[in-house]
Amino acid sequence: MIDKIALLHVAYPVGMGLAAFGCAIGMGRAITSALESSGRQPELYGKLMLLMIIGCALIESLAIYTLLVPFILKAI
Amino acid sequence: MLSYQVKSVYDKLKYMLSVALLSSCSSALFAAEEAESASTELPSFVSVFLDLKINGEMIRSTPFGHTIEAWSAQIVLIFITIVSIIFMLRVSRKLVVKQVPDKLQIAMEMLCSSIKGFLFGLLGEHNKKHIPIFATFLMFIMICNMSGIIPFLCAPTAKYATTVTLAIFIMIYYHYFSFELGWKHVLMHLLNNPSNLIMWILSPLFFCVNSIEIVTRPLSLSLRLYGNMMGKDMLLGIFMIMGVQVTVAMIPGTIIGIPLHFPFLFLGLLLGVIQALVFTILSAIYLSLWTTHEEEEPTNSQEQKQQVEAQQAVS
Repeated sequence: MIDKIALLHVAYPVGMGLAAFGCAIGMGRAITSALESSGRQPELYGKLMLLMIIGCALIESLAIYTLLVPFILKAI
Repeated sequence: MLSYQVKSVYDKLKYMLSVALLSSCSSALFAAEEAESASTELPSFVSVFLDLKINGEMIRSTPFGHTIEAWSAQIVLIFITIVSIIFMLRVSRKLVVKQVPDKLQIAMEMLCSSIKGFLFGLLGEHNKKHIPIFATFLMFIMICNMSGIIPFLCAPTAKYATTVTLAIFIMIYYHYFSFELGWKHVLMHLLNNPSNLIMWILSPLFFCVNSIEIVTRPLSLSLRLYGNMMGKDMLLGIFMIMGVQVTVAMIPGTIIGIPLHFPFLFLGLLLGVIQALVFTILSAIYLSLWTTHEEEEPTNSQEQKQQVEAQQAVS
């Protein structure tokens, strides 16, 4: 009915877009709280930036797992 | 030409132009590789070596060439390691204490003391012996990631083989040291230390989740680093190819392209540093989670106690 490869060519970008959507919401909340706390207590800016970057890298890795699926499946 | 010796605007323009030219040369290499080979390959000095011809055929098509092509990223890794070992030997040979030290010694001492302080705050007093290995990981991964931007070198962490090796190594490392307190401590940690009846009922659930986490933690570490570095290479590669296509459209037959990928080099630099930091911080946190003693309090209050004691000693 539908060509399987064509279906994958539609599914991978849609999946990546959904993953990026969720990650953007999560990272927006994390960065918002980091910036607000930095405004309240400016002397903690270094620690807050470090924690924010670690949190953002953890959330971003979920989108990267979705990005890697086509490359890994192409090799197999 | 070191960056702090650049004085006039003309010097700055020359510096940026040389960087752009070097990037565009590497862009030509990548575009040529992309056109010839079926799989996207990271160009490096190994690819230049493979494109040479012996007896009328390229080294790449010989069996010896196939082996070198498969191991090209690891050859670059060995080269990076040898260069950094030579650099560290030169730094550590002429250390002076009583006279005025030279700039290299001051810079290296600043680097070492900042990394040591940062990791000490992360690991704590009783894990102090693990600071050297995490510092090694941090510097190694940072240098490997930054080699993706240097022309004629590739980032070895952009191949899954390198990152999965690092992740498996750190997994074996912290599981070995988690058995320091005995196998009963490890079992209780896998069951989340049940104290009352409800927690004992829920403990099989925790056992399943924690034992799956034994596998997924190194997996996530390796995939995060690999995905970031490979994605950066893909991004740079696509823009490099676009740059070459622009000049080929204007002047047919050129091999040098416009460095359209120039802004993404800075993004790659930032990502490389951040991912090295995240890898080290997560490994250190996993280690300290597995090696907590129950009678000791977590690290932050230890720091606060030390600070309070220091203030009391001063006053």
